[in-house]
Amino acid sequence: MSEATLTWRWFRFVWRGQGADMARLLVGSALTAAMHAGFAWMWKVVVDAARDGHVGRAALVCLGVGVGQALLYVAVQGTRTRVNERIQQAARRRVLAAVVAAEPGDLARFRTGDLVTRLTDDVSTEKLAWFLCSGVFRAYEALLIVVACVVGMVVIDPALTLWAVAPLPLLVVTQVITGRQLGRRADAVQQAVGRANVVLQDVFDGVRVVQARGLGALARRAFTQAAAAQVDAEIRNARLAQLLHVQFGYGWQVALAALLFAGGLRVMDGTLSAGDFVAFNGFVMTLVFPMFDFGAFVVRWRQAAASLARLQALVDLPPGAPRPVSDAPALTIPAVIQTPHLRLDLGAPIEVRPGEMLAVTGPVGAGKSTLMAALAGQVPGAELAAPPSAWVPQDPVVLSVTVAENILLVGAGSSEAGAPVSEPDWARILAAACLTDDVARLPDGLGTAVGERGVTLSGGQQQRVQLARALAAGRPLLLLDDATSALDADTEARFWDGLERAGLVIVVVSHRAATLARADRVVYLRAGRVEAVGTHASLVATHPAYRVAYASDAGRGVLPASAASTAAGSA
Amino acid sequence: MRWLLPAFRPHRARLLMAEALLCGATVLSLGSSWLVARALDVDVAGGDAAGLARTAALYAGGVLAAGGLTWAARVGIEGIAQDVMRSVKERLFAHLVDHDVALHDQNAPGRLVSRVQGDTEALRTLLSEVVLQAGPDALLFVGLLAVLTYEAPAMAAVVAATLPLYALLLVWFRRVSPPQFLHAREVAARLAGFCAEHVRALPLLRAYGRLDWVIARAERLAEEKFEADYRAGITMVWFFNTLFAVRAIAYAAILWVGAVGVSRGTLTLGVLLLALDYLRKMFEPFIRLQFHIVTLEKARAGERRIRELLAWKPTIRAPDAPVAWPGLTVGIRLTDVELAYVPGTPVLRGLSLDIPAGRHVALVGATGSGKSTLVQLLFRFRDPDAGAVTIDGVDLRALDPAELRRHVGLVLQAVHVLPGTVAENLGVDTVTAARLLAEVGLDERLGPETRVGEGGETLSRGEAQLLCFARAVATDPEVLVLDEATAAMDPGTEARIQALLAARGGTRVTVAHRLRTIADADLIYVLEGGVLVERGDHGALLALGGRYAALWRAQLAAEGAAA
Repeated sequence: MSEATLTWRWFRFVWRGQGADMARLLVGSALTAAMHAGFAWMWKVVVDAARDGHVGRAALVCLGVGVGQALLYVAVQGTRTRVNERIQQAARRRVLAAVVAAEPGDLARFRTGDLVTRLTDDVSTEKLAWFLCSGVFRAYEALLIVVACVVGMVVIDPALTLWAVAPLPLLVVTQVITGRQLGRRADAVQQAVGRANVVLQDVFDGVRVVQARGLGALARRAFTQAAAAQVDAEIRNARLAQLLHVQFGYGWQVALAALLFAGGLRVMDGTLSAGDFVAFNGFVMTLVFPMFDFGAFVVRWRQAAASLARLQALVDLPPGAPRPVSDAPALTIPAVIQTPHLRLDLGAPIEVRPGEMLAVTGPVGAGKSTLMAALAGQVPGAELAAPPSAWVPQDPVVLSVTVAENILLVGAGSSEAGAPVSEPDWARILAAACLTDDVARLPDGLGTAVGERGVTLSGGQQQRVQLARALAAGRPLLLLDDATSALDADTEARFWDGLERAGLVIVVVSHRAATLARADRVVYLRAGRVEAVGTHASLVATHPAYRVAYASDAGRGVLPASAASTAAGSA
Repeated sequence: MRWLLPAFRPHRARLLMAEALLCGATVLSLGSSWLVARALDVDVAGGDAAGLARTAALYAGGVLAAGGLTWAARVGIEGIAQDVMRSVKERLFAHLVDHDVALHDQNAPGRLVSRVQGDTEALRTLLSEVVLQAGPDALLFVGLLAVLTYEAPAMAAVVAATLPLYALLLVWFRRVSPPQFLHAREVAARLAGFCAEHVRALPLLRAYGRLDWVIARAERLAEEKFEADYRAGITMVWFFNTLFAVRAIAYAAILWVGAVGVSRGTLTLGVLLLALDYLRKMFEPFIRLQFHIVTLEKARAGERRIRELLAWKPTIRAPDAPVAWPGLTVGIRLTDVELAYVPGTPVLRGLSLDIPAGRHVALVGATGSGKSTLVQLLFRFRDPDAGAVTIDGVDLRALDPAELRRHVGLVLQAVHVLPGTVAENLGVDTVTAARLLAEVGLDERLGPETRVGEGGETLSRGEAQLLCFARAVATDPEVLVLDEATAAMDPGTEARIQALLAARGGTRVTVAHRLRTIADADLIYVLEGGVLVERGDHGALLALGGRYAALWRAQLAAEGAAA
């Protein structure tokens, strides 16, 4: 898609339904443009009026136009500011919706940081939103100002208009050229800063080795070099940036020199009145800044188009297909699960009935977590018909909200979108997740904010919040992916003892003998294939590798030393 | 800001030059406008076409020269500000590199990077856009009022009357705007944090069918961001348009007074135009301000943070009269060592143990048992809160830390290669570097002068690990400490390092999770919760049937499972 098509599509998208604001800006900009030119015209009126003696009234009108223009500008700029921000919101909403709906596999191609950049930086006022409203309407207004001023000048003196206006387009061209070059140099600065940051990061990361081996001098030398390179890039950038500023501040005044000469001659031979000359002067001053708006339009468009391309890539992500849900009470795991990265071969289908607990174990890379994610419907291409599940992934996910919201994943007590909430039985949930005491100790109990702007939970507490979340969901299938690994043996035992298993299908990944022993069946996986299925006791008895790995919990850092040595001794 | 003055000293001449150029540009700019008045009042009024052409050309020349001077001066000022900031950065960096490890543990590398880079950047903008611009701006105000007073006192009075209004507006804006901008930035940061957190949590939220909740909260945050941005934006709109309105009033007043004067013959047309032009010029510094108002607030906060960081003196320093390295003939001894990173939660609780000279000692224990803290003590990265660490009876605090660290080598799990040559990274001359490279078997791949690190040769993980090992033994230290050094090594690299270690001998301290690595140690200490729970060699500890024996069996079992 070309830059123009892409920009046009987004422009239409963000302006859809905003007709009133668009009309306001179209009319308001036209009025301010007219007043811009009118203010310069009033200079002529005032000076000419001095001859006739009613200068006071003319000056008052002039003042009225000037102040009125400023007030009208408050309205126009205020509208532009508001619409800029609304556009930013609309663009982010559109992209976020696409990201949220996208197929997980497609999304996995993007790094988190990259997605965040697109959701924040690329939609930002600076990069995109400003251009789609302010940029466009400033250019529109600039065009109208130029037309109005040129009309005003032509009315006074067509030939002199040529003298005054001729140098101005040159300014636009030089500004665009400088602006583009400046973009390249700014990139060079970014790269130099990035390199210096890498040096800093490397040194601070390895500060122990640097101090242990007396490498401070090398570190300082490396940083000095990087900092010098950064200064060089900054100064190269500053040369152009300052050139742009000088063009802004002084370049256009050459047009005033031309006007001074040609206009002065006309005043001399009496074809131009003093008022006309003053008005011309005013028109040229009024024309300058619109010229720069044209330049800014071109430069900012390129920026916006680059951001748009990155946003469109996310919008174009196909939405994920809804996962099939089984209404059978039992879970049937098919014999073969094929994912894009892994083929899981269970040999035969495994059925887990309500009230039953299936454990999955095996060494790293066996496919345990893949199996769990597939059962939770989170693996694209491996859609299994499973009952609705409460899934606890291996790495705890704790959001920066309150404990209650972390457990319910909805605003506490509210019935917000997607989540019918009646006040849950907190006592039961917290007790089942062994969280009662922890929550009691928190400053605001369940209402305590956790995460980035709140209290920090320990690894074990995070896991128990996850367990509470799974239990509160009240779903018939419970998927626990090594979800109790950070709990001490005592707490874990309490959790399992307290779990009401009736009616629940439970699948759990664990490495602990104590947990495996609680399961009705254990699936022993290795490298995507099933090694053995059976009870813990039977596997220990018949499978040597399983026995070595899982016969006891000795040395797993969960039992007191004495218990561990006893267990190890019996192994 | 006073502490910055010394950094300007080397650039005094350049600074004077740049300021002079900028003042020159101001004078030229004011003079050019005056030429317009002269062209009208003298040349046009006198009917001198040739004179008009000369004056117009002079005007164009003056304007261009003012532009050129401004450019040169501004580039000069940018250069000075960059150089000043570079010296601040280097000072800050040197301060941090040699600072206590405790400071680095409390401040993540990313945070220190933004101190060194981000805060100085804001400060630089403050310098180049405000501080170094203040003189020329003052000259502009004074100059234009002086010229106008000379030409037409009434006009000067009108222009001067707007100054307090501008100042008042500025005071209001400085009070209202920065908090709004800082709030907007804070909300933006929160939104970015929200996005990061929830993008990562998407699979879970999808599994629980709570995507709507995410959208709803994102929507609320976006609304908050809208409010914050809009409020900050609208303040700016009011500020500038009030400024424009004040200027419009001044324009009208000048036109009125001027037009009456011109019609009565008490004032010339040229002076009227001059006053209009000066009014525009007086406005320019205020316009420039709009681009920097937020940076200025950041600069103030950044300046404070830099000052605080520089004022934070390291506690681990060489004593005034350091004791010479005693040599290691007896051993290293820890006596009743206590240490807490956070007061009230001790990591080492009265730990006493010996590391006999010439022996291989291993430290074993779970995460948090205190073994890595013990390593920190050996290098004097930290000092014990109570108790002492001695080498052959000499307290480490009596030694120069640099001297101590020359005699104790450190190999970590993470590899750290700095930008520079191999020899520089090893911290030795090129001849020694060549010998070391040959020793670790990297001589075919790297030479002493090969550049490594950022911008240099890319090393494989194994190569980097070997290089780090070579660095640790480069000074032929009497003690070698390996802190989980082989945990992330491939079997080939590990075998090579084990062979080098076996050939080397000497005193060695190994911290390892994998017990197989340390089974041959002369002495194994098992730590738990900051105290010593078991000691002995592998055989003795197995026979003891305690904590170590349990760990050993568990690891055997895990290896069996993986095999």
